[in-house]
Amino acid sequence: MRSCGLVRPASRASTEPRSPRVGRGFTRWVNVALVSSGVSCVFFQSDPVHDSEVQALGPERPGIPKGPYHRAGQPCTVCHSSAGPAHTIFALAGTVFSSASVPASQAGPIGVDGASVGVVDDQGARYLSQTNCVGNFFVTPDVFNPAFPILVNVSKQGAGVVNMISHISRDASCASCHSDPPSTSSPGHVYVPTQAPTVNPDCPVSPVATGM
Amino acid sequence: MVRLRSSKSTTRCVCAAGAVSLATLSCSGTPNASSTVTILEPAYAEFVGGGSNGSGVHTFLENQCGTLDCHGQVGRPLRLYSVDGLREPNEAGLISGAGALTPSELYANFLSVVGLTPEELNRVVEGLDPPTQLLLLQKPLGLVSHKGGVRILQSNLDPMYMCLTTWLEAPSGEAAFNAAACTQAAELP
Repeated sequence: MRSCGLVRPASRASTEPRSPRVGRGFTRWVNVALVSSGVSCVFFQSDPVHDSEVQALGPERPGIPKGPYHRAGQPCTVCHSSAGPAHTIFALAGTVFSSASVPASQAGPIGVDGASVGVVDDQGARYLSQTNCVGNFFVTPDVFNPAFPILVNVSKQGAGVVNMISHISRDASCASCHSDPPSTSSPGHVYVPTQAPTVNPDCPVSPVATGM
Repeated sequence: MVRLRSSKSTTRCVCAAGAVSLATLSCSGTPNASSTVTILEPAYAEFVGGGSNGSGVHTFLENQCGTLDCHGQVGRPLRLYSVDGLREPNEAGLISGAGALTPSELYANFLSVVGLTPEELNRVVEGLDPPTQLLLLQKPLGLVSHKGGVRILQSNLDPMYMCLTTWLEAPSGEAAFNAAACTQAAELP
């Protein structure tokens, strides 16, 4: 990058006349400025790909503050990774819904409260996470940091178990692959089939994920 | 003296400009659309599987490498279609997780594999180089950087290694295709 270069002072051996305005002091100041901008190039350069992924998620949904209930059905680790902008890093995270399809009468899929997400990693380590009242679950690396690839299943008392057919090779967000609508590049959202999804009356926000 | 230096730098500039012009001209030749390169390839029948070929090479690649978060992505080198991963654009309503792999998807996967490093594949199929010269093996073996990490061990005890190497070496007679290894390699733990 041009702005990260340095201005070379005139050589002592040079016989060319030096501009009186471009003295050594001036060159030094220019170099200080360029080195500073070089430092900023290294430490503050943003990743446009990551930035666009964050932007693509859109704003927070109205009435749902940032926290464990927000952005159900979105790829959590776009923000919750070392690249930020969220401060909490997740080793695994996602949302479990109550059915594969969404009836026309419903604004969106309903998150399942108290579903279990079982994980077996490449080393045979096992972990069981539970969803909150909007269906979100998240695992921080200090609690369980799986060695990929991992196998996953989702279960709910009275609803049975759904085993994921393929393994997860390296993506920590369910929704990176499981997005809606189902297509040639997505099998649709994660779900555990429940007959009548029960909504937790104590849930501070609606478990219906709209605008996924 | 100053004039002389100035003239030298002018000469240098002219030479550089000439070199750039020549390079531009040499790159602007008319491409030959009918030109083809013949690639020796390992057996397609063994890739597809069936009968004595077991589940073939493709099932192992699709199950172990073709997940949606890895090689089951459009635009990725060694892009792989699979039943539970990425599907080829279609009008039959085939989505991820539904319907069997189509012959077109199978052949596209084969082209992905043989087209990864085609010239080197020629040398391997001819028996001039070992399969480990191919990016197809160098990546999962960890010999070069692989975002998915080390996935295959360079050992005759690793079914994934045996499946790929025997498939690649079979045409030159270096090894017999190990169909059982491919079937074993396709299984998830």
